[in-house]
Amino acid sequence: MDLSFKTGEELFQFVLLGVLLIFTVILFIVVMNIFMLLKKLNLGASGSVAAEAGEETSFWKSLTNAVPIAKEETVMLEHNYDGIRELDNHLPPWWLGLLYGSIVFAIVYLLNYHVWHWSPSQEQEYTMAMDEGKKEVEAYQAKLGESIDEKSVKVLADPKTLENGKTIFTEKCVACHGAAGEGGVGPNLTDEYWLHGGTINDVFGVIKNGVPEKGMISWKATLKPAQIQEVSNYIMTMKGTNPANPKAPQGEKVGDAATATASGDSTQAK
Amino acid sequence: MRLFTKPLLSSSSSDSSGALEGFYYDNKIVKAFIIVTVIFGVVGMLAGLTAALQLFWPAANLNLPYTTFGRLRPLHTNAIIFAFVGNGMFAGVYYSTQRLLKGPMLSPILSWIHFWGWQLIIVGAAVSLPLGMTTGKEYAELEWPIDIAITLVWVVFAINFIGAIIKRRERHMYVALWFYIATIVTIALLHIVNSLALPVTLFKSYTLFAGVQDALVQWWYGHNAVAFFLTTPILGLMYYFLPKAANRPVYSYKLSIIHFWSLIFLYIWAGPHHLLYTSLPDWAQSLGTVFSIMLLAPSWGGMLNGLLTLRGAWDRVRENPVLKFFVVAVTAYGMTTFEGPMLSLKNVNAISHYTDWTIAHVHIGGLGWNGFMTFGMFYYLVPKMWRTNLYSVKLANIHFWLGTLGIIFYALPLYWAGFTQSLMWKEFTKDGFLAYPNFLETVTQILPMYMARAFGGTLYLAGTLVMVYNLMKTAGSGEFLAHEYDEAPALNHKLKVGGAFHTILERKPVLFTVLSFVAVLIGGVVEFLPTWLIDSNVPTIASVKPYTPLELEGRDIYVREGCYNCHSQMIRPFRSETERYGEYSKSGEFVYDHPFQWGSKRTGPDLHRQGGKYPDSWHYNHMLEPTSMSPGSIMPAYPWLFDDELNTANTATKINTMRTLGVPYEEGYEDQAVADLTEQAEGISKNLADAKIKVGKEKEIIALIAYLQRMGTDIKNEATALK
Repeated sequence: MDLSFKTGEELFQFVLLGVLLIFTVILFIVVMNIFMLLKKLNLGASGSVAAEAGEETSFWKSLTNAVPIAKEETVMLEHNYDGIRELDNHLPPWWLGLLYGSIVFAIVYLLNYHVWHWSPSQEQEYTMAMDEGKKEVEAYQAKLGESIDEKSVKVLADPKTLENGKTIFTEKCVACHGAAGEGGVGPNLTDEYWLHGGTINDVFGVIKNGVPEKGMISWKATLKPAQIQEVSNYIMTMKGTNPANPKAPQGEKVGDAATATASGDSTQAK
Repeated sequence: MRLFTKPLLSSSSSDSSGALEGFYYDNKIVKAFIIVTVIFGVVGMLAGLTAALQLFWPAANLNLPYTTFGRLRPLHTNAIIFAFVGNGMFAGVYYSTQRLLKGPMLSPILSWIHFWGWQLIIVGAAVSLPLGMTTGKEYAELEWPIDIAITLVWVVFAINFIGAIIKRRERHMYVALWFYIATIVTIALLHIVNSLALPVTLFKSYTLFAGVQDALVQWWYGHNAVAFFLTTPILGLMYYFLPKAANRPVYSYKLSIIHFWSLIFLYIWAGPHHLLYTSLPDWAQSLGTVFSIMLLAPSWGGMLNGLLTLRGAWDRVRENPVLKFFVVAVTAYGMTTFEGPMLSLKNVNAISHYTDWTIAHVHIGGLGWNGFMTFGMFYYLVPKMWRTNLYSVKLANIHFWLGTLGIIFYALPLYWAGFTQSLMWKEFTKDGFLAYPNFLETVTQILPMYMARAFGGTLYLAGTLVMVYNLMKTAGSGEFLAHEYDEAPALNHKLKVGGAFHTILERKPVLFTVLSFVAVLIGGVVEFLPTWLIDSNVPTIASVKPYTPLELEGRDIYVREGCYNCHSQMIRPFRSETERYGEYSKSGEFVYDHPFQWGSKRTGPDLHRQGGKYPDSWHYNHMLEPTSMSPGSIMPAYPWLFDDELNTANTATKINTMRTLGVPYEEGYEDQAVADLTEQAEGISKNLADAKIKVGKEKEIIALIAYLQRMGTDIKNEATALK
């Protein structure tokens, strides 16, 4: 027998076939059983057992198809295990339905995913979800108009912006940059030295995209552009605050002039 | 102590042609198993409660390595599964088997080897797990010497049991025995295959399987440990003790046959439902789903046969504590076996997986089904064997209500917590951002639920203590009957008896055992062989390289500390997960992972793409004091990693072992391994020094940082190589 399956899919179909075969056999046995049962019932109807059919048509009875307790001697088996007796009640019809139903479900499920490919595989599902997400975001942004990025970020000094910025800073940044921006795992934000440029645009860019090779993570999945603008502005206000335990300067010294050029309107805002 | 008693009626067998033979049932072994069940039950529940407290009160770990969550949780699960449920099951099996066979076990010596062997294993687990000796595979954490001991003791049990069946005086085997047989053969199979490993030292081994294959084997084992250790033997106990206590005939023999065979055949396939939306091949996932769905009816067959046996005895349920416990147990079984298939549906699993929903689900089974069956059984057995009445029905009722309320207070908050947290993980804002980008937010949100859960656990434990008192008082008021006399006619082997196919099977124990073995073998083979033999199931990624010696040592620390108990390493292909963690996990990334560490619960975030995300100093500070980097974190601190020096004595052996397992370290690399390790450690130590952190390069934390920084990064190298 050639067992060289090129793909798992191929082998899977082979297995599926085997399983289907087993189920067919089971189904065949069940159908045979039903025929035997019908035959017995026929005999019963023409004979003497018919009387039983009339009584106890309660909901419970129809649910379990149980032999009434008063008559349970008729289905009592001869078994006696340490005093435990056994009845031979019928299988509850709904239970049998559940069993067959679940088998049908299983077959259809497998065919659906692996033969007919009506439903997407998990990778296809993922691609679809990503596309959908992208479309939703684009539609939302189109409705919203322009968004803030590292080019359009504004220097703002209104108390609300700075207060929001401070909240964000306390929540997200202090772990690495210290409570007062004095530095720790990350660089000192209060001195005049910057590793990646000291303008608000630079700071916005670093927060947004991160500097993965140095351990600064990207916040664009976490913070909205407006929030990055707020916290960037708050960081700009830290310069020269001289907190306790400052981390040694890192990067290039950036003069006031350099930061000012990119933020021409900052003085007006103040 | 009275040694024997005459039964009022001699047993009546259907073919009682031979002369009556007298014999004694061994009650002493049952008593011994009951005592250890109660002791280890309380210990296991205390361990669980301590772990539950740590989730909202991290200081409850006493700041000791031995009692941190990552080591305590395996202790809890192993104690409850193998010491509490296991010993309880043995008590019931030894009691019922002798009576169903009309004869003692094969040999009392084997019974006592089984007993003491098993207790020794439990003590071994109780010592080794807190010490951090673990294989890192859930519910199979015990290291290889203990695994071998388990195998040996299990074989002793099997010989004792099958031997007793062969020597029996009852012609046919009752349904309870079928379930015991299935338990014995399947647990042997599961345990041996999943524990296959190569030893490095006496206390450390690497599993034979890697990555996806290891995951598949592990959850084939994990799921079927639930099936064949926590379900089938307990169903067997139900079939003996429930009709006994209710004094009613079993509802349907037909149902017994059909649900038994369908249950054991279908159960074994369902393991992959623990790995939906992971890197396991789609076809295997689908098999896991559909076989779980098909399991619903066979499972409910057991519940129906239990509950319907109580027809005509419901008035007694109100007064009889034994029946009360059984009714709730069987109902809990029905609930949990309905929930199981539902959780196996892809779209439900997408929500439930990695959350507390799973924890709630297993505890309905554990506290409700296993616990209450055991309790009911003990309330039946102790008065019976000590030949007295239960000391206090009132206390038993109090236990019943404490236990029931305990289950409710345990499960409902966790359902709520799981659902809430999952929705928070998945929620996006309109502008395309995660609504709760900080994982910690989704944890602090559910802390009140954790408190409620610990309260539920306390109630349940309190109920158990009430039972301990009640049982001790009962035993004290009675007289223990160590050897119970009974008589039955010997089996006349020459007598020709006919019967339907299954009736014949019921008197052929060896054939029955073989057939059950075949039934459980099929599913495992069909799922496992293709994953192993067909390469396309795990597409290789060229840039994925073996771990460096330092990373390998770091990984062993990760395993030792049980990080997988709270952190997954498996990013599912969902937008909400790739946004949060990065590119979803590929099967080819895990080919050198012996063992796999995908995890099953996210109390903390996924770590698969952790490598390179933060600087070394972040990890240093975070492991020393997690709240310094993540204020409000419930992660414990790991100060000992900063004091203890990395043991490199076995590094070369580890490299050799890994090479034997198929990891492509060059021949002779083991000689260079420690030098490479030192060099890499120096680099990290220097990085830390730059961040003003002074730490010796030989400390364990350095190795752990090396591993954390490597995780999930190989795939990025491929991306750059392609560019």
